[in-house]
Order: sequence, then C-alpha cells, then structure tokens
Amino acid sequence: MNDVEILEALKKGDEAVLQKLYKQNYRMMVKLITKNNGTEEEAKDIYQEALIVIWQKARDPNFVLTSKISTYLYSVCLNLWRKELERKKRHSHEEKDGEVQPVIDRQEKVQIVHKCLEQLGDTCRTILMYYYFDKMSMVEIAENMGFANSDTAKTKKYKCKKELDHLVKTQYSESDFLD
Amino acid sequence: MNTYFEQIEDYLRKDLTDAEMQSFESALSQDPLLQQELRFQQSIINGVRAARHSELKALLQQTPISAPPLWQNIYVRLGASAMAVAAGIGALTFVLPESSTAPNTASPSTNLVATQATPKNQSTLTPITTSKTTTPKAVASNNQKTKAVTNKSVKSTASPTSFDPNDLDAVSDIEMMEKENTPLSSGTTTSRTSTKQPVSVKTIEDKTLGYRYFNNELYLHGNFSKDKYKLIHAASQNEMYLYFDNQYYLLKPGTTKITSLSAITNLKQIQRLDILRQE
Repeated sequence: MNDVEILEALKKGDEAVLQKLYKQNYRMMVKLITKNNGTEEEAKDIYQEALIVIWQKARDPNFVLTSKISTYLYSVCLNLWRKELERKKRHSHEEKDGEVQPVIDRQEKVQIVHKCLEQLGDTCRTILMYYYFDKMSMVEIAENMGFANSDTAKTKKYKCKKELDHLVKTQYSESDFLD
Repeated sequence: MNTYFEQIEDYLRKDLTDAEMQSFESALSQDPLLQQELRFQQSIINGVRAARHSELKALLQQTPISAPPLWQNIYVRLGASAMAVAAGIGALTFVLPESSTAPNTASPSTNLVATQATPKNQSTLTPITTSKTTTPKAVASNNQKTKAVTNKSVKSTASPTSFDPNDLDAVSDIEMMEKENTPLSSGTTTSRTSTKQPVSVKTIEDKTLGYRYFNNELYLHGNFSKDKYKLIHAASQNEMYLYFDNQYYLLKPGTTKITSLSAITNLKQIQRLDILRQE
C-alpha cells in the first residue's frame, strides 16, 4: 500500500489501515522519543497521539500531504514531544504554585460525558463520535453505519444528541457540570 | 432553546457564515442563558471527542507490535544466500573457460558479501565476482543499483573529502545499501580500483558493537543474529553509516583496528538518515 492509498483509507475511516501504519513505523518513532529522554511508555503515547493527528488531518479536505507519511509522522512526533517536555516543565511549576484545579475539572466533565455515552448504547455513541470527532458527513455516517440514507443518519444523530444532553442534565447538577 | 441549540452547534463547528457568526456573538454577549448553554454544549462535545480519542488510543494500544521478524528473515536470507551462491557458481562455471581460476569462496582476494543470516563467528559468504574479466549475469542483473553504488564508492574513497558527520544538510546524493537481500558491493564492477576499496562486509559475532577495515573488507562486530542491520552510504560525502538496533553509527574509513561504535545523537542527522533509510 503506498502513501496515497493509505491516506485515502484513513479518509474513509479505515481503522485497520491506521493500525497497519502504527505497526509499520512503530520502532522508528518510539526510538525517536526514547533517544530524546523519553520513556518507552511516553514514546508509545506520543506516537499514538501523532497517529490520531494524522487520522483527523486525513479527514480535513484542505489537508495536502507534501511529504512521505513517515516523514510527516516523524515531524508530528517531534513537535508533540517538544510540547510534552514544555508541558512537563510548566506542570512542575504549576504544582508548586497549586494551579492544577482547572485541568481536574475538565477531566471530570469528560468522565461524566463518557459515562453518559456508555448509557446511550453503541449506535448512538458511534454516531456522535463520528460526527463530532471524525467530522463525518451524514452521508458518510449513513454508509458506515448501514443506514438507509443521510436523512436517517441526521435524525438519529439529533435524537442521540438530545438524549445525551438529557442524561448529563438529569444525572448531574449544574454545579457538577457547569462552571 | 431549540433555535439556540442549532445555532450553538453550528457555531462550535464553525459552520456559520460571517454574518450569522456576528449575529450569534451579539446575542451571546447579551444572553446569560445562551452563554450557559454554549458552555454546556462545548463541554458535551469536548467529552464526546475525548471519548473517541480514547477509543482510538485503545485501538492502537491493543495493536500487537511484532518483534523483528528474525526467524523469518534468517530463513529468507539463508534461502536467498543459497540461491545467490548457486547462481553465482553456476554462472561462473558456465562463463569461465576450464583453464580459468574457479571462484574460491575462501579466498581473501574474492569480493564477498556477508548475509544477515550469519552464524556465530562465521559469515555466510557469497562469491560475487572473481576478477575484472567477467561478471556473472545472474548476479549482475540482480541489482544494477548496487553496481552503481559500488562505482561511486570506489571513486569517493579514493579522494576522501572532509565532512562533518553531524551536518547531513549537505548531503544531496545519498544512496542506501540495504543488507537484507542487497549486497553492499556486488563486485560486479570491472574497475581495477575496486581492490583498494572496502567493498565487502563480514560480520563477526561479538557482544560489543564495533568495526574495522581490513584487507579491503569491512568487518562488523556485534550481535547481528539479534537484529538486522543496514549500511547507508552518503555518496556525496563518501561516508558510510551503520544502522543497527534503531541506532545510527558512523563508519570512518581507514579504521584498521577494531573500534567500538557510538550512536549518533544529533537529531537533525538522525532525521535525515531515517528518511534516507526508508527511501
């Protein structure tokens, strides 16, 4: 599979190709981080983040790949690792100054949504993830989910979102969820 | 609230036109309820995105990373080596007259190619060529690129240039020689100067990674049964690099004593070598 084919597959949301790409470049990317003071776990984490970046980029109609995918991944890994090192440095200062509360609040909210998504069931969860994260159109969601047409996808998405809002609002008080 | 709902969603997805955006932001600045709903929707969407993000990470985390396909490669390479030996001998037998000197795999003057499937302390050696006179067709046609590399290597080593190994930006014409199936030097060139070149490679099983040039041959010391290695030749600068166990090492020409290798740590250089290695 060449780079063009890989990118096309990623655009279509082919997770198997994402996994293949992950395996293909794993050793090189992990070595890049471990050579630069990262642990194996940090390296894996950064590399996985880089792949998710390319996964989302591939969905962007304005994205043009001007180099090999491996080269692109390499530079994304480097940038992410540089940011992570800066974050670590900043974090150590924040801990000293006691400024980590907003991050915890954000994580709690994410956990709340996560729990409510679980309650929604697989179909609704997948539709909402495709729509908000993968930025799939209703046509693509219909194709991926096996719906009759995009109108069905649109209706289902609307209902799922309403249900999610309702679950969060009824199960958590405003003070839990809103600032 | 339904109208707001639709507007908020479009606003967060940046699907509003400039005029709609202005209108929405104007309403937003004056309506605390709308502001609250916007924050709520933003948190919900962030949560959904985070969930999908986690899902993809879990997918990658569960993806098995296979160890270097060592056993597979050994057999593949052994098979390839055996075929190359057979083809080489066969071609030589066919081409050379009976009175000619037959290729001798043990002869130090013969250009040899070490394979990856190297048994301990002994290279698997494939005769490539014996003299300037004849090129076995089977080998010659096998890899024209390798032949070109050899020729360049011969020329550049004859006139060594000064090159900062930490600055690969200057590299414009770099060729990679991969030791999986491609010999470092096929010896298929008829150039007489090739005898002055370290054109063949032997691997010696050793705990410490090192190298030396001796008798026009490159001796690589290390645990090569553990992992495959590659040689990358920067033709313009006439520098040879060893890639082994995810590290790069510079092989300085003229090193006749066994010298241990230190991995290159310059990021820029590693990046360039990574790119070259994959080409």
